[in-house]
Amino acid sequence: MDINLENKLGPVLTRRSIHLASYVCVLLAWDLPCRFGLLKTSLLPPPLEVLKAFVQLSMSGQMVLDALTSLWRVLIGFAIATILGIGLGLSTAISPRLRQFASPIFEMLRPIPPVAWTPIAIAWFGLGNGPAFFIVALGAFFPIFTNALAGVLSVSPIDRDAALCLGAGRRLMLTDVLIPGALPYLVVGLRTGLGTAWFCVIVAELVGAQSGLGYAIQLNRLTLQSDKVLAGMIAIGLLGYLMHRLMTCLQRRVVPWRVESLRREYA
Amino acid sequence: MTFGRTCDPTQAETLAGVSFSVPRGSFTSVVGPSGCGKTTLIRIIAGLLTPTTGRVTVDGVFITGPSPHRTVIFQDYGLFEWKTVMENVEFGLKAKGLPTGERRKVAQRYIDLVHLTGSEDKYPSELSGGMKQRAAIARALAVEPRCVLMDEPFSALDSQTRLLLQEEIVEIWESTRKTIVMVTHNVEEAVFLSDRVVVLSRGPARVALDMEVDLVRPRAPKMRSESRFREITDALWEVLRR
Repeated sequence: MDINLENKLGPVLTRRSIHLASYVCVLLAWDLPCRFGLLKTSLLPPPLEVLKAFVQLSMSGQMVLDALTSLWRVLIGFAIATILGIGLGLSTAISPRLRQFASPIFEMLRPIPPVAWTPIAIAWFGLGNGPAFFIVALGAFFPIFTNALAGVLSVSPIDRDAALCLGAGRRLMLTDVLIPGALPYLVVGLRTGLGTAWFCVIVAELVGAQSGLGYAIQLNRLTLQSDKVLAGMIAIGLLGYLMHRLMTCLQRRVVPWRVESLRREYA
Repeated sequence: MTFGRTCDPTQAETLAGVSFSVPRGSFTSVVGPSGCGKTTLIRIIAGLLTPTTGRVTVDGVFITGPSPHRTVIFQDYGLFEWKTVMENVEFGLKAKGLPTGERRKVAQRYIDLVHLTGSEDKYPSELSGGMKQRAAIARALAVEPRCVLMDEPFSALDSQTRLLLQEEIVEIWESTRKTIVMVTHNVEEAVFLSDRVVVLSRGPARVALDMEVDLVRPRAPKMRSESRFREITDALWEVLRR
């Protein structure tokens, strides 16, 4: 029996080059139909037009302003969701009675997509920051809360027993056992929550605001400037991606004992 | 220290009536067939479980719950995976309220005792099974308990590491002279380590035998092949088979 495990692919087909090929194909699939007049430019501008619009919007500062407005709304809404989500997650984890009481309420609210709250949010808070804060907070809340609860419950009974047998009181149990033990779940909840928050702010701005990236792409659609719409979408995508990377870095620092599982995610 | 116990079952009649005393500073093993209720027994002694009848007394006082005076070493180590070795060993001392500097010194002493010097800042996921168990031992000893309880501490280890750790435990016991109650299904291990072996019957368990191990101390690895050792283990196996 011969076992030959040499890498037959060779240096050409590395992961990087496959990624690169993928980008090139997407760009070609986008560019070629436009070049050969298969699509109206008002429907799908060619990549070069979009790039020009992107550069122009960035230079003029308009896009930066919109981006900052959206990010600010995410920040506030996410902060509210984090405080409420972790607070309620921890309390329901510790108290079974509270858990039983709160559970039906959450199960009723959970299936309603945050964006479905937009009309009522506009009615309550008017146009502008209000609805955005509200919907972002609502959207980010559920992943954070659910993961905080699951995280604390995931701390194994053996760990809790070990802590008791070493003389841990309630406070130490919370700070040194339950919360750190819940962190892996919690951090995933925060990462998901941030993604949802970003999604929610854009949608909320589409109808409920007069500033921000969501509002900007809606406005540009109405004035038939599709190149600016796409440029805005690219900006939205880029920011979303950056926030995701930020959270993953945070995850590494906060949960250093789980580095293995993080490495697997990247592959 | 006397450790008298009369305990009984919880829900499904796990223990039918187990009663024995553990003298202060002695090493007592409890052996029995799988499922006879050994783990239930150790959890009752630890204070994690309340027996339906009977009580555990330590120095004449009934116990009311878990306490750092009766620390436990679990089969699956029970190390906090989010804490480093040092932080794990310090945990009990933190619970006691010791200031940081002192905590570190005491913890370091026990880390050195179990030969884990140099691994203080490692996380449990970076340790081998044997190292994890050593860390668990250091953590259990650092609070200077009156009694250490061990629930099949070596069964998750491979046989080589198991034998090595048995020898280390004997050395540690000889230098610290803690009262130890260890539950195991491995008869040879029980005989090698203990002064007394209590054999439990099949579940619902009763005490089938309570005998002294009269091998000389300090115990040496080669004792395992001596005839007296064989005699004792054979006698215990006889009882277990019944």
